[in-house]
Amino acid sequence: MKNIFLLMVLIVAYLSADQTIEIVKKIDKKPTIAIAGDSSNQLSRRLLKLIIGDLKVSGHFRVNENIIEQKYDASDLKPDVELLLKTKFQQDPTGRLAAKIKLLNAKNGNRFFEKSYAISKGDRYPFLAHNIAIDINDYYKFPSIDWMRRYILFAKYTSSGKSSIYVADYTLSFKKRIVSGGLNIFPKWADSSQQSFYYTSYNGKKPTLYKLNVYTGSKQKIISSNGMVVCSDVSRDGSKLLITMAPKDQPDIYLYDLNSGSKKRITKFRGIDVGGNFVDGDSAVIFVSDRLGYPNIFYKRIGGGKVEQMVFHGKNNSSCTTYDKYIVYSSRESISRGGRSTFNLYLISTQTDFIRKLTQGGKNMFPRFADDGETILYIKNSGGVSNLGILRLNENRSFLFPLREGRIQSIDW
Amino acid sequence: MKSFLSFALCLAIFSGCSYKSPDIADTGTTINAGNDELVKGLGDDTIDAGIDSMQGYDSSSESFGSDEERLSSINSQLQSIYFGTDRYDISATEAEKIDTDANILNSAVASNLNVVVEGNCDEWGTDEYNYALGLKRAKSVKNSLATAGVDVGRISIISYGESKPKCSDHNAECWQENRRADIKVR
Repeated sequence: MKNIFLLMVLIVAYLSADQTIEIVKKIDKKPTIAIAGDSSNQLSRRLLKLIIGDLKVSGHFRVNENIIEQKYDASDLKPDVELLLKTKFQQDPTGRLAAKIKLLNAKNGNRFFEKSYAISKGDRYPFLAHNIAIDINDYYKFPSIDWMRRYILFAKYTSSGKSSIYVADYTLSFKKRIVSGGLNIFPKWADSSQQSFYYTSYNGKKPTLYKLNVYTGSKQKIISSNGMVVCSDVSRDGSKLLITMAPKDQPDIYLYDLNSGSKKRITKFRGIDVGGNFVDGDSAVIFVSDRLGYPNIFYKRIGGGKVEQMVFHGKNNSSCTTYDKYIVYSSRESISRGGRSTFNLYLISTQTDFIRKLTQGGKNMFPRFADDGETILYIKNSGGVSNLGILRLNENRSFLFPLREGRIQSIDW
Repeated sequence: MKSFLSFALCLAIFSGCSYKSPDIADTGTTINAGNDELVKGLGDDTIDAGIDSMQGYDSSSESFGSDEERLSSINSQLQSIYFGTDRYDISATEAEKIDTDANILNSAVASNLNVVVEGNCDEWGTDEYNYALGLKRAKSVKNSLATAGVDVGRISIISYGESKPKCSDHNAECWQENRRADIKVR
């Protein structure tokens, strides 16, 4: 009897730790919060809306979506919520955009914390809002939302045969074009500090992979290839790349050692092998292949060994991302009479048979796990609009941020 | 009787070809000799030159003001090859175009030019997979051109994935236009 009980406890504990089970992990009680400030000028209004949006996306608060018009030093309270965030934005004597916040008990005015911020580049104001939201979240020791302060990289098709690369915040409120002119695609951060990134340029005789430092502008050629060359993943120490290239007209995945310049062919199938991602401590690769006659997700150890099928659902799974034992992939579904298809994201674990559907409708593609493994960035094309999607696994919610013009080609963060 | 039947059979076979040579018919001997001689005849230089002219591409009379004009003229006559959804095999219908394009590429005005085959895809699917799919399409066309007699050393391939659509409407006809390999000289 005791053994059966113990077995049941272990099963429940195991299942509850698996993201693929559709149980939304709840914070015991989400505090209600209202944001107060002066929304009479456009910049302040944008900042306040961004803070409201960030707290909503975090999923850790119940947010009053109306801005409370209130001076920073006013003593008015708001007893219908638990927390009141008071804000003040202005230009400081040195010309920087400065912010002051204080988080109060909305019922009795007790102050929880107070903080000041300043940024020298006004166009980066969305990151001011993100940092404020992160600090409030961290004060309550809720699960981290640090990913909000990371730069997103994306390539955007601007016209036929032309694509530019941008850095942005996750809401696309801030965007800065970094590479333009010709066809520049598949940007990939080179390191977690986001100092440099790799990208493919078609502006020379052959497709070429470059590394670009976003702060100095210095550019380094990595490798060229006939046909195509795409960096799909970078090892944790930054010393190795997984590259899809075709030196002999055949698209395969190669492991490229940046220190030695050597390349090792990982896949040898005569069809399509593409989109490799490091797993298992960078000792193995998850990738997309059509070796079964349709795109699907496979696994192979870098040191050698057989190729193993990872996904046994769907008949067209053409992109994937990995985090620890989890894989998120994009699966083509439901071809309509007009030939339109939907692409939805699915989450699986390499340890269990469970599958969890993450999206519904539209074209949801190019998933990318955040460093925390709980948030996924993806591209959603729907109704002729290209959107950046944020999917919060534990909150079971997704948010879309539209690109006003152009079409997102690829993303990374 | 046997010769007549062979003659009739040959006529039946070649009535489906995209080209017929009045020169071949006029030589008479080639046709009357039956299938074997006709097959030999296909490799004959005289007949190959005749095939070029019968396809409406008489390279001997071309004169161009500049290399750009020559390239532009040749490229305008090369046909794109189209593919099914998620496919990179070449259908029988498209294979006929390969033969036509191969003859253009081997004509006097083009035979000293390099060839690039550009693979393209429609908007469906993730772009990284589509770049690889476009490359496979280009490779299929390269292989077919080589089989059709174009020197493989002249041919390079490149994939543009979804980046170069011929049309941007969101319908089946447009997507078919974009699932293609373009053949160009340079």
